[in-house]
Amino acid sequence: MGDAIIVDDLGIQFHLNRRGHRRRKRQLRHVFARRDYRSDERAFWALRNISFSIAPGEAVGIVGRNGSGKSTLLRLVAGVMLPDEGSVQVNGGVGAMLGLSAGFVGTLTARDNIYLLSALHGFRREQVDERFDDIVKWAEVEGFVDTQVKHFSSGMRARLAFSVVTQLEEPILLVDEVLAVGDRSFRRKCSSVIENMLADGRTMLLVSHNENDLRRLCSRGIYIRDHRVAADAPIDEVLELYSADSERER
Amino acid sequence: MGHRAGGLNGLREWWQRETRRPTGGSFAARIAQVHRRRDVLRMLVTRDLKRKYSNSYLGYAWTLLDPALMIAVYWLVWGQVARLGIHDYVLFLATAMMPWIWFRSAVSGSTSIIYGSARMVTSISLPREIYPIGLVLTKMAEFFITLPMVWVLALLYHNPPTKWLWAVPFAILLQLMLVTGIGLMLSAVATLFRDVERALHSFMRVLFYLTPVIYPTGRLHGKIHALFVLNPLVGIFDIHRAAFFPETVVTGQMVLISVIGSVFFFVAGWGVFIKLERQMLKEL
Repeated sequence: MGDAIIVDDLGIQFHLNRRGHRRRKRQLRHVFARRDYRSDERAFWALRNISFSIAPGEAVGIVGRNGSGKSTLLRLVAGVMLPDEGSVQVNGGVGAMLGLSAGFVGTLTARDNIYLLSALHGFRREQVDERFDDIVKWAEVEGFVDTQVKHFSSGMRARLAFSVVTQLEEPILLVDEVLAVGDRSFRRKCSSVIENMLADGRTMLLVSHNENDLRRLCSRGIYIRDHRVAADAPIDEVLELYSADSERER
Repeated sequence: MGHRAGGLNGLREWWQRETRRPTGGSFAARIAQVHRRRDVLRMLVTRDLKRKYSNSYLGYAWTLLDPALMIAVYWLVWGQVARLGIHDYVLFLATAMMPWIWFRSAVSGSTSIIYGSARMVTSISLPREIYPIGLVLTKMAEFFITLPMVWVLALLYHNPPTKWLWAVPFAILLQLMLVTGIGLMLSAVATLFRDVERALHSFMRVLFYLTPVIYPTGRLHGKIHALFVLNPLVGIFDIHRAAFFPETVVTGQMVLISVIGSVFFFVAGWGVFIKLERQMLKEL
């Protein structure tokens, strides 16, 4: 059986304006200049020369400082961003749990939103019909099914979104910081759901700043430093290296 | 596998590989992806229709009220004040106003559809084409809601439909291709260059007067007429109008220009979208 995710020499470049922000506007010549951008532009590689592969059933945590390119990496694997160099190959369906409540419409009811979000993530209507009660029950929003989602608290919204997304049956899961939202009991509930998913033999790529989650859920870690892979090793080693680096900088 | 698969088998393998990609790839792959996710398109269209009316008292009446008000204003100005002398002017306006509103609202809306849906685009793995195409289909649904208004007016004016009524679905198909192409193109271009949104606003106002909505094409002659019919909307709108006004002349040349224009914008617009997609996603 081949690898579930193969990332080969991946690179993505962003452009900065004079104040060091990402450029919002660009000139026509850059659009039609293909890939060899003029050197006078301040371009930087958010990620470069990233290579790794992940076997089916493996759970890998990605660590690194803010802005090191972790989320960009996950987006490239999910296919919601496209690389400038290299390639991402994914064998099997991908369930992307990136921005959880993206897709919610405040003025629609919870019921409508469940169907909407499910469809966006690739469910057929009958599949949602089957799971509807489970979704509502897990999210603890019974009694609010026909309430507009804009009246929900952020915690309720997060629970509802998570409840829909965890119904995904895709063999490969990409999880970005979703465990960081909500109160403690919700976080515990989320991690136990993810543990169950992993027990099913699914492959997972997780971005998190929470060491406990990383240690409990992942067996292997990838440390991204200065837009490159600084370490790819068992999760404990990677976390040690990462915290040693953080200490030194302080 | 590659060396053994020749001809048809190779083609089939290529097709299967292309159509199995979740997003991106060749033109054929993208059409297959959008087709595969047509349930999402349906969801997005119903979402937008529901969302638009969920918090308003008049609800769907707004869809009818907007063209009705525009028709009333143009009837007052061009039918009563500056008399163009066109008979059954309200029906005359309505036949072209409905497709015009579809065109205008879809094209103007497309400039903000990608960055307006930035959170969804960057976190849900869908073919990016879904967003502009969904917008075009939403506006088409609204167009279909307003279409019976034209039929009611035709009944009131005792204008029986001509044989051109059979060509109206064809005109709608042409417009769908045209608007989809322009919508895809503008959604990508306007994400990279925000000025496009403003420029388009002025351009649409000019285009309205360059398109036979408030006056008939037949009033123009010679060189001006020849230039005028280069607009692919002319043939499309005049088919709608000919369905109730037998004196409307739809020439083969006008229809041909509309067909060529629609196919051109569909292919070229999608091509521009593919070309700019990578950079567009970085701007979100």
